[in-house]
Amino acid sequence: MRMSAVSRGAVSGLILVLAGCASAAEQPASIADFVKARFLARVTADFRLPRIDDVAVGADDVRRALNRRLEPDVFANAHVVESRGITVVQDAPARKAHAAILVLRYPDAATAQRMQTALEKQGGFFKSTEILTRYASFAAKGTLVLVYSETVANPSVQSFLNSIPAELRDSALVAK
Amino acid sequence: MRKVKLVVGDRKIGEYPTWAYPKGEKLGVYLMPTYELTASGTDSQGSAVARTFEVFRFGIQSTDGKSARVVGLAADQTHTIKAWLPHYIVHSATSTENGAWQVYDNFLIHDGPDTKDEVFASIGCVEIVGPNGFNEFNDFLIQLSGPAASSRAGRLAEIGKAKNMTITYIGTSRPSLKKST
Repeated sequence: MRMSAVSRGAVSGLILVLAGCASAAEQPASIADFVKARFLARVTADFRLPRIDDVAVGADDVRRALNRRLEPDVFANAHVVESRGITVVQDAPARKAHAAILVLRYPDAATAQRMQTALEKQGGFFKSTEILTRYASFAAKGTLVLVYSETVANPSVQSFLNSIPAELRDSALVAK
Repeated sequence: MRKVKLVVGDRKIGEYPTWAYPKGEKLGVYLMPTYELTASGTDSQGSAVARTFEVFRFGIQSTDGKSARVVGLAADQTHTIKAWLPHYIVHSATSTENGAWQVYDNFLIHDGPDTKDEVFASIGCVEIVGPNGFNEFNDFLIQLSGPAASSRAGRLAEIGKAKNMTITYIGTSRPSLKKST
């Protein structure tokens, strides 16, 4: 899978958002930035000297990676707005927390909602994958946000996946 | 190219979370023992070298989503590695640890969990455990084999084509099913 690095260890700006600073300049720049900030807030406290990788994944690469993992063809008629992979790593003892963020935009809200319903029906786990991979999703106004993780044995990651749909709803970012 | 010998041992050396592939997501997480794989051969100076890796040897299968059983190669057996499969991808996310060695049919050697935060399944493939484990394993195979190609991808392909690598599974019994608490 081809990839391009966006940033490594770039957390400081996002922490300001989490701390509740309300000025417009400190609002997350995008839905993916918001999800990343919520993820880091949830998991990094458990890590000692965490190293953070943030990788942008191309539309073709994410389509190739996910097409056989999901029942609905979420990419049909969709524009890939953002696709990112965030990994928090601790070297010793070895620990890892991963979240991938995919933001898709559809021509209308009904299509996005139909995809959301199909994803809920699939049950929250990727199919045809050797790594147990859990996902959470949220749709509003033609946008679908899919967040998934390959580190589901990490309790903080489980907690993050449980809460992120409601946090997206409350943020109103997706509806903007 | 020089010959390489892989031996998958019968002694349990650790334990990692796993799940019942391919339909057992809802059955929860199990614990599976890990074993030692020893890769040995000679380096470019002719000196004998060996290194050990922690691996999955057995796994858990659920074809109906209701029941699960332990599977994997238990009998004593030796195979010649058939090929390097560069396009085999375990991850749905970005990873540098792609590709697999074909032992025979669908029995492969490929990447396994970096840490116990990941829950990998196996139904008999050997999976190399630990951070960057599969890359380190492949780097060591290159060191042992001495392929001539200039790129890493070319070297791995060359090793696969040479069929100079064997894998021996030391016979042992399959472990029992063990649920993670």
